[in-house]
Amino acid sequence: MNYCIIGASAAGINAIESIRAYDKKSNIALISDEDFSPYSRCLLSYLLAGSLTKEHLHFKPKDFLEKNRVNFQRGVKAERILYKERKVLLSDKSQIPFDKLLLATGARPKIPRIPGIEKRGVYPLRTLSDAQKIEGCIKAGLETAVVLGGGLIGMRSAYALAKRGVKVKVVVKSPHILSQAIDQPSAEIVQGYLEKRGIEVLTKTDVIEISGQERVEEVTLDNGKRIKAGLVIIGKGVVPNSELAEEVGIKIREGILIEKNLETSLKDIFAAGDVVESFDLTSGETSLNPLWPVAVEQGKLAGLSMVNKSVEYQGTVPMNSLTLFNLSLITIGLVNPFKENYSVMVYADKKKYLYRKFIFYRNRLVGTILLGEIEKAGIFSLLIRKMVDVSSLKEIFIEKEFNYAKIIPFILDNPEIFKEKEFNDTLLSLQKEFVS
Amino acid sequence: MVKIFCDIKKCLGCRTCELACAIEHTQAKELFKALQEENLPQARIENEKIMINNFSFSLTCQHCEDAPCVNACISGAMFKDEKTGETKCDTDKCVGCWMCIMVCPFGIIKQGKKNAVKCDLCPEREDFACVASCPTKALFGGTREEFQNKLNNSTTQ
Repeated sequence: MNYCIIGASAAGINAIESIRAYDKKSNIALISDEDFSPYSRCLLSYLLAGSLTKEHLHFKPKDFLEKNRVNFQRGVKAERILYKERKVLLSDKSQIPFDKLLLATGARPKIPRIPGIEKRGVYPLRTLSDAQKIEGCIKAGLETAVVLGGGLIGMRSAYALAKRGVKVKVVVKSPHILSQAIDQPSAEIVQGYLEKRGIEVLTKTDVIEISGQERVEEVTLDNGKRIKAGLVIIGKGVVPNSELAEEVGIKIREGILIEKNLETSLKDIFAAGDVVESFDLTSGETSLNPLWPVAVEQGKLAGLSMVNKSVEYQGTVPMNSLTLFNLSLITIGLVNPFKENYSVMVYADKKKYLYRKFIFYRNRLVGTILLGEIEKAGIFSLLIRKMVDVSSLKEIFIEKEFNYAKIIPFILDNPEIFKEKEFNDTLLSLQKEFVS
Repeated sequence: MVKIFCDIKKCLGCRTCELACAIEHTQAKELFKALQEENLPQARIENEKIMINNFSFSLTCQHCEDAPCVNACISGAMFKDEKTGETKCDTDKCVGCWMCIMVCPFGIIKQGKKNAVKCDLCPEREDFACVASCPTKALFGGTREEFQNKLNNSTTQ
């Protein structure tokens, strides 16, 4: 059997682990257009901030590929899938045969069409090579920078630059930062916090021109204002790398469409990670969810599916975690409800930078924003993922004392939903009294 | 898999385990000296009140078989020990992104100064600090089967 995996990030690497758990013998080829050994993209902003070194970027042990006997083709691009021949054509003209193929091709940064965007000193932060270029600018004595976009990558980049002593301005088209991830009141708290720490946020405005000789020197906003910038970081989101799939006739909408076993519309071709569209359990819609934990889960399941294990991927709960200086934010599920019949509960203390919001749909918890105090976040993500009626619980969500013990009666009442052994382990001494 | 279990009916909610755990995870391993260390002692076990019968119980990492924290970790810091099944955090690799906190179904991973703080089953001692400190012997360190046996024995006695 020949397994071929295109893409050496979260989804691809985790698929290898699943395949090797059951198939020690077959060939596994891994193709990556980046000329680095596998690394964690999510750590790039930490690298820039100076809080870790390049050595720390590897998310698997150094001998991972060797130990799993992977034929790693790095620095080459998969150019075409020859489906009938069951081969992948590479940019160096070589061919890799496959019986099962995984498209874990990921996503690439959206580059807005702005005059001057091609100038030196204008980069996204997606790859290690982007990070190295940005690092070069910082080392050359960078003083000012502009970040385009107030999303998670934009904010992480801004924070990293600020940590390195660069004066940063974030330019955001929306009325507030993190508009996809949180709501206006919580975003305003974060903005206030950042501005006190020297990161300026300019909302409801956009960059219309990037100017300078060869390198960027300043940007012009749509209100005519000009801002000095020795570096511009593009944080405008990502688009899936779905071209390979499209050319071979795989069904695509925004990303690759997958079945519950992670197979695409073409037999023996699977897809996982940022390139796929997946079912969002909280919104009930299929959407792009380019997030690390989602890619890990899909990659693992795709690998299992490729070794013919029965797999039923239910869908994903979008979530993310962001820490800027000492302020932590966790957002899970649907945070800006767009339909009727949603109800919300909010607690806010702006002075203490605290904010908690819970979003319910028909007595189910479907989303939460936790700002400041985040330690119990996982219990909420459990309740969201299990899609249970939480009407008996919701009054205590807001309480400071909320913890796992508070949902124990609920778990005892619903053993068929909380069927993982670990829940039972916490209740062994109660079993006789309440269950039998 | 060895981990810490709690007999809820014996737990008084005295929180001695929290203190013992916090002290064990300091350099001095002694309360008053530990308070002078740069990082304040931090417990990895937590006593929580259950809303039934005024019960309370002490909870720490359940070392889940399919551990959500390991799946969510962006740095490879959280991992399963292949031999023991223990969920471990390599604090040198941990960057404090709190993805693990976002998904821990027990809400029992703590924010340390720079990295995630969780039960490590006391690698520097033969027994477990929380278990050793428990005045009512509500806490137990061992496998699920061993704990089950212990419960069965105590009810038949």
